[in-house]
Amino acid sequence: MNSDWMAIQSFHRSQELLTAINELSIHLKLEAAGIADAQQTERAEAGKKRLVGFLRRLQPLLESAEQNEREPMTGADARLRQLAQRLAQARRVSSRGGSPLLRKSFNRMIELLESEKPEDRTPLLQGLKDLRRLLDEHLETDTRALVGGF
Amino acid sequence: MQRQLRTQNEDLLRKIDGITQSITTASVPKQLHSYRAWLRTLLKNLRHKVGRNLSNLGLSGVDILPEVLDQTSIVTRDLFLLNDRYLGPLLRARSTDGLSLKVLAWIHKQHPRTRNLPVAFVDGSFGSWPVESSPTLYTIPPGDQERLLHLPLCFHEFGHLLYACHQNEMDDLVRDLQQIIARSLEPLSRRNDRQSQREQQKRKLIAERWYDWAQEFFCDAVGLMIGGPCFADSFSFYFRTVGQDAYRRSFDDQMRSSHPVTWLRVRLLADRAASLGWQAVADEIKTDWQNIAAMLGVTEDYFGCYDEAFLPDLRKTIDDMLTETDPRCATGDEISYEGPITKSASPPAIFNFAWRRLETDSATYPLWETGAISEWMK
Repeated sequence: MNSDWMAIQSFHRSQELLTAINELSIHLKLEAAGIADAQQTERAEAGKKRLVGFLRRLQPLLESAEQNEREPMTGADARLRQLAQRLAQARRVSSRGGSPLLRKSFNRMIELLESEKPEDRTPLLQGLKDLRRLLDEHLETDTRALVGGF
Repeated sequence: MQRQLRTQNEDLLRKIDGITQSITTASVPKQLHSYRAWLRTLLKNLRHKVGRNLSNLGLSGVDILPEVLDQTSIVTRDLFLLNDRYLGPLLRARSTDGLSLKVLAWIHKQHPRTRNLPVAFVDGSFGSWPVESSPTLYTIPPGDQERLLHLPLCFHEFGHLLYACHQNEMDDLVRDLQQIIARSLEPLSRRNDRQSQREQQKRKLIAERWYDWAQEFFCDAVGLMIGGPCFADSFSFYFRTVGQDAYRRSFDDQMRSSHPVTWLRVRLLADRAASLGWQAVADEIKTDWQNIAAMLGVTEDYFGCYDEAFLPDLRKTIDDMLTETDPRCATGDEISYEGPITKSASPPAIFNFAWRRLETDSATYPLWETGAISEWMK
């Protein structure tokens, strides 16, 4: 019996999250430029919800990866655990720079996503950019597992 | 960059239109019509995404090129996946696909969460792509697609889909089990030397590996519940002669594998079959595996990855997972079914009948199976 199921689930999860990030990011930039688009706003809202749900799910895994590497990470598949470890590693390296995703308490990123304040737009966009980079790298493994290398 | 992205997206549009044309004109069996409808909707959505990319590329004064590039990559990867896996079952459909499709469609119809999820299959060792938002793509070995005896293994694969449909609740149950296992592996006292750190790393690996293993044990239980004794027969028969690896693996090999040692799975399958009152098949598979292990000179050893002390909690977790997902249970009539073979007979009825028929007279079984499939597919 094969175990492709893990790769395909992880692939879909990352593709959906990346779509959510891009839709929200495009919306924030259009909004800042004063270009209104009702459909884009709708997609951005759906993306925001998806991202908040995901980050809440990732939060305990990240805490586990950051606080006690020796303890097992439980209740999550190997790919999600790897993502949490990758994020923890990125946060360790960039503790003095980078976006709110990498720099501040992880909760701050969720607060930014839920915020309607215009001044939160720029830090949110920076956080989304870092999350996109992280997911793009993470997704490569699943894409290779499913459709082979290029 | 803008020009490159425009050209790339225009090419994506041509590819999408080409695929849409191919699947629209393809002649496909009735069982794949809903799968084709899903593919068309997906292609339509991809087309919209590309259309949005093109219109975003026309916006001036806003720097959204990184987002458009990433959105272009998303569509490109989706098309890779479509071409690599999802189109084959439709564009290469054969008249002999009917038997496997009938079984898969029946499985999906038995559960409210999967009733509307289209199915398809491709060649490969038994497996599945269980995602609630897409049709489930099963892989079935070509040699088993037109025979009855091992199609019950698809019931196990359906377990992965049920897990995906109830992901949050299932993950919570598995987390509790992993924590119990992690605690039970803890030594009474801890030193702080290298040996102790290595032992702690091992305990972490074992506890994390149990995330996948718990899901596999659950899927075995789903297979048994849906199929009845035929699932245990099929599972045991399929794997018992694949070699020593099915009976014993080193610690490192176990840690690399998302599946528990098959002998352990058989033991748990037998345990569950006995608890469901199917003592004969429970005894039979246990004895078969013990005999082959003895002949191979293999003794049971899981190198610390499994301990009998886990069993009560493992049983309870699997019970709770079954309660949460509520798979269909084989009926008494299906388990003891002896014909007649009509097109409305359920897969568990046919499969249990087939296994009893094989055990009664394996020499005449192939002829019987050909006739049975022909009647069932009418």
